[in-house]
Amino acid sequence: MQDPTIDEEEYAKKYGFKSNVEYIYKPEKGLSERIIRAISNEKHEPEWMLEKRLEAYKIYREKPMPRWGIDLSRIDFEDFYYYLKPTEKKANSWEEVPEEIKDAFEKLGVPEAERKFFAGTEAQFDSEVIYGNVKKTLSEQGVIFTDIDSALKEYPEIVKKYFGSVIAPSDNKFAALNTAVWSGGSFVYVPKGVKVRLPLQAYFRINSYEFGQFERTLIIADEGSDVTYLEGCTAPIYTKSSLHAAVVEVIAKEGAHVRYVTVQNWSKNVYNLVTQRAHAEKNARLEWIDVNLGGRGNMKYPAVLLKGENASAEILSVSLAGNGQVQDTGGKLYHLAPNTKSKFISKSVSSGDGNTIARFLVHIGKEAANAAVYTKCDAMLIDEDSKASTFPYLENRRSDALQAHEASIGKISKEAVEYIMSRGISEDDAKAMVIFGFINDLVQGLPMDYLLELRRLVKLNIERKVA
Amino acid sequence: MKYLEIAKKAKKELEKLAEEPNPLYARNSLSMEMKSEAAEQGMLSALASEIGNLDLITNGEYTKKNGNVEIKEIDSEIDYNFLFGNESKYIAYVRANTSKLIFLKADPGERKKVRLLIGGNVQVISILEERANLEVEEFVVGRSVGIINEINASKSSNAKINIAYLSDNALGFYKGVCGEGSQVEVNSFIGGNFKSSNNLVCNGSRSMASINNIIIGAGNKIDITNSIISKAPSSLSSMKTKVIGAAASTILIKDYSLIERGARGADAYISARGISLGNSRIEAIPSMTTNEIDVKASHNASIAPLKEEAIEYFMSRGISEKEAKKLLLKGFVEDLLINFSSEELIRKEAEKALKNILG
Repeated sequence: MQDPTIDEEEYAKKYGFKSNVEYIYKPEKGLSERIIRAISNEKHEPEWMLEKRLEAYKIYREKPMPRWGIDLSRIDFEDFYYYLKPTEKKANSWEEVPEEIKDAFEKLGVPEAERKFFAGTEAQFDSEVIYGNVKKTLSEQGVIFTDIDSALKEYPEIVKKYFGSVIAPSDNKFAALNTAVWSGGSFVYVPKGVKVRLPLQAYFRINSYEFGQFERTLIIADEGSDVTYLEGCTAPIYTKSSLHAAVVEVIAKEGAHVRYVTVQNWSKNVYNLVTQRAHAEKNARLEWIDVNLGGRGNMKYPAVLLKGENASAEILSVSLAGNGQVQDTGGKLYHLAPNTKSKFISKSVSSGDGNTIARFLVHIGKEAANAAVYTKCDAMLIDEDSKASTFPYLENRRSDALQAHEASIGKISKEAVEYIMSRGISEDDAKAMVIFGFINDLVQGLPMDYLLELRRLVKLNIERKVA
Repeated sequence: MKYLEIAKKAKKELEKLAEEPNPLYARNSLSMEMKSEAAEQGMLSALASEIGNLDLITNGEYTKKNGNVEIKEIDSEIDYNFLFGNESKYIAYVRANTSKLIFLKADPGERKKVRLLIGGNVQVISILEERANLEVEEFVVGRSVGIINEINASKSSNAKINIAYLSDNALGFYKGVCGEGSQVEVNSFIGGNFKSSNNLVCNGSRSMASINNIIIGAGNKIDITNSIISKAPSSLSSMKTKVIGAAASTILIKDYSLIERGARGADAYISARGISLGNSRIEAIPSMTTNEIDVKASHNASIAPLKEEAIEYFMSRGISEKEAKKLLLKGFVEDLLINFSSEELIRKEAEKALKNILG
């Protein structure tokens, strides 16, 4: 396999950069009970959170590494800093944000995006949220959009009630790891009946050598509310593997609608092992739009537990794997109540020696009368060395359930590429257009600037491969 | 080499072996009882006259009717490389409990039809020389039976294996290799409790492997893993399963198609369709891996109850509800039924099974 850092130069210029930030607090590498106590102490956390962390650490140590999915043997879990804090003080306005960090966000277009589209911005730099701004209208509506550390101090009862209620540390090894060492992440609470018209947005970055980022996001949409949450990642480039093991918990109460959008573009040395899960109560609607572009190895299966009658869910998953990348992505849908409906659609594109694996599970439980499920996964291969797999698990405990699934794997249409080229467009552009056409219907839900960035990234992927 | 040694080894390893040969499906696997209970002689003779035209009848006792079949003792020297190893404990169990080996050989260019009535543990090894054409029909009956089939298809040969599992409990496994331009087709009709894992490999270019299953479960536990590996250019693979599940049946269908690098122009297709009646549970995992760009691969699956509208349509034409259901279910399996060499016999069995379900 090609060294992923070599053809990254152009990428580094365009999207990757490394800011020289002095770290005020810097514990040693590796993980121990002492470090977990230090993290909790540093954050002045309540006792119950420390207990949760220590309990999770025990589970983390006991759980074996998953034997399926991507190759995790290259990760040395003792070689990471598990907690770093870039600035002591939380900035309130853009002017107060340190210059170096500002520079990093300017390159990402955060303030620009905020002005144009977004209601509020949470930009995470390493472990702590250093810049946070909730628009006045939102606070007037009673919407809470803050970093989770602040939420733990300001709304301890809500956090205590819901933290870990959707994803227990015992769920999987990396959820346990996250629970033990989590730091930063977003907290969203939307009150009853409130419709948040503009999407809430958060950027996450990894900006430290050999540093694992373990953010924790908790979203609670109260009865009849409506919210869209956007999460986009890009990361600077390093030579050693970085680890990103986040946990995202979403609770959609009766009649609520939550749309969670991720555009993941970690640099190609990051292992992305994320647990995302949502509870959908009666009449609630949950949407995951999951776009995976970056990372060396990615294991991510957003899940929805349809717990209430008439709840519905949709998972749209887009994965692009270029040279040296494995995108093991998909979703899980659990039908646990009557008249629940769900849809899973995935589109994967493999170029170079990239490998995409679409893995998903649909479970129709005994209680789920009249459940209906539609699933589809399509994969496109661009080059000789490209690989693709699909693993759909359709579990059914009901005889009245309707379940339909289709899938296909095929190469990029030569005719389409040639046709576009005959109109005077270069081969790379033509390929990028065909790829974009392939994933287009799934990414329609993204805001315009995300779509533009996605277009650029698809093209860059093709160009880099040729170079 | 003597088969006896293999059987001894299988017996020794048995306890340590996994339930599922493929770790991908470890989570989705049904446990089955391992026992051998041969069919009674009286029952065999009755069935033999019903089916007719048999080459071999066996329930541990072997009644050979003609020279189409070659029977080898397990302690005799055998010059053959077995396709199966001890991949799972069920496979090892059948291997350990094989008392004789049945060889079906088709010489170059030869056309051959063989009919077997099986009421005990057996291994059937089909060897097709170049351009040979072999059609095998196996009727599996009795209480608890284990069957292993190995199919070796040389260049341009054509093998068609039809297996009707009519026993209460069966462990049934097959493996096959397809040489250049050869065709291997295995049709299975499954009633009763059943555990199976099967694999065909397209070794030669333009080879064709197809697996067709009709499953009618009435309160049964059925667990089938099928896989086809496409190794050679322009090879075709197809796996089609139609399932009717009734009366608290649990039916798992796991299909896996792997297209290896170099299998240019390969075409792989998987289809798993189920109709669930009553309290049954049908699960499907139609998975696929492609390591070659120049291929066509697709799969589909659907699990649903019978369409109310369709039943009502029939009823509006004066057909009773029961009859309407029966017609719909018969129609559902019809496209796979016609693949069987003795279509009529299988149709009769399917009707019997449907009558069981619908009353």
